[in-house]
Amino acid sequence: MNDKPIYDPEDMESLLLNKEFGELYEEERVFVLRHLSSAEEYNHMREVLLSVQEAQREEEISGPDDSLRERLLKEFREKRRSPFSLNSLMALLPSADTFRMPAVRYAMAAITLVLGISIFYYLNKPKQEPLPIVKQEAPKVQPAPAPGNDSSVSQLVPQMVVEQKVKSIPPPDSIKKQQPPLLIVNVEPVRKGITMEDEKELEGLLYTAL
Amino acid sequence: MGLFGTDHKACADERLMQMAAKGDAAAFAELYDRYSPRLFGYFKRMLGNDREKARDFVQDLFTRIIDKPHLYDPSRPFKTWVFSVAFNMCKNEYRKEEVRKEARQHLLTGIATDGGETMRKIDGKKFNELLYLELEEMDENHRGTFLLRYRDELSIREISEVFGCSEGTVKSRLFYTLRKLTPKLKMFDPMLNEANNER
Repeated sequence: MNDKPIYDPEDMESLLLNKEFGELYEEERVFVLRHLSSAEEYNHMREVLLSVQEAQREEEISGPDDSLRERLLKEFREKRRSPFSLNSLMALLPSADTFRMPAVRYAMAAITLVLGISIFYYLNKPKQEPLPIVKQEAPKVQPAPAPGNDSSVSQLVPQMVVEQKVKSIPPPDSIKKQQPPLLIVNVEPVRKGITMEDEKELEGLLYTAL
Repeated sequence: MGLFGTDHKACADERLMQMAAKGDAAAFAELYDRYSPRLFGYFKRMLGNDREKARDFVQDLFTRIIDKPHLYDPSRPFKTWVFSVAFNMCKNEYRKEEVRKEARQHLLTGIATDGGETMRKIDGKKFNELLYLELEEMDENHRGTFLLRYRDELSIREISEVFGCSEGTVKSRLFYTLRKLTPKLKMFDPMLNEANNER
């Protein structure tokens, strides 16, 4: 097996940081001289690199002023604290990437909320007694009154008769001049028991009477 | 989590970020304390030593964390993620060409006023100034890689994650940058030699 190190030009950094040119192995020198013009260039590069490292370490590390920290923390508290309830709900959600998308998380939170409210109302809904079954009889259709037969009319529509009696009271003198109608029938209330054909007959009766 | 709450100082960055995303202000504060000095320095060096701009950028980055914590991919280390966000912010800034021109002018003025004695009285601070001046001449990928490696001391692997490239590319960029810097910084030989003698 070949134990000789194989270098790429990009591996130069570790050599530069650790060895002067004179300390390099033969194969390392060959490698270096393949990419650099001379031993002098190698040593210059090494000096520059070490100086860069040293100068960077000595450089004062100072952050931005403290007021920025305070401002950012205030901003954080204002922006991140407001949707407290939603955050609480979201914390329950799985941390898969999909659920990290805000739109999906808000949608999931909304669905959870709606489901929760629905379940709450369902559980707290008062039980209803089953309604008694009522037999509904078909309405009896009364025969239409024959024209001129007052008794059949009164049988069918008592309201009509009452109204007729009221109308039969002699009007005061002021109204006497007007010609009173011969027959006033309020058709509306009797529609329930009358078929369309009967209604037409009644209308015909009315026209005849008028 | 302990009986009396979480020890934020002992938490990993990734855990702190998850807690901050859930509204934990202490976790956010800890992240800020850990990263704001490094990010401030990074922005300062990437933006022509402009402290005000660096401060604004730090604020902008942490505001993004507050507003859009979901942008953080928990499968990635927080450190590489936050530096990649920082690098992208700088890249957007570079599109405004004035930044680089102003930075170079500012640094050149500072060095020129010292006259001919400068090279003999060079100190670490001046060395850094010229180093950053020369870095300004390089594209943002080489400059960003170099700063992350030697200023922020990220590993090759971490830098490759920040830039989304291979480790070989990172090493290659470092080699190229260093080789390009060497003749420019050779003028500081007295300082370099002194530094070597001390070592």
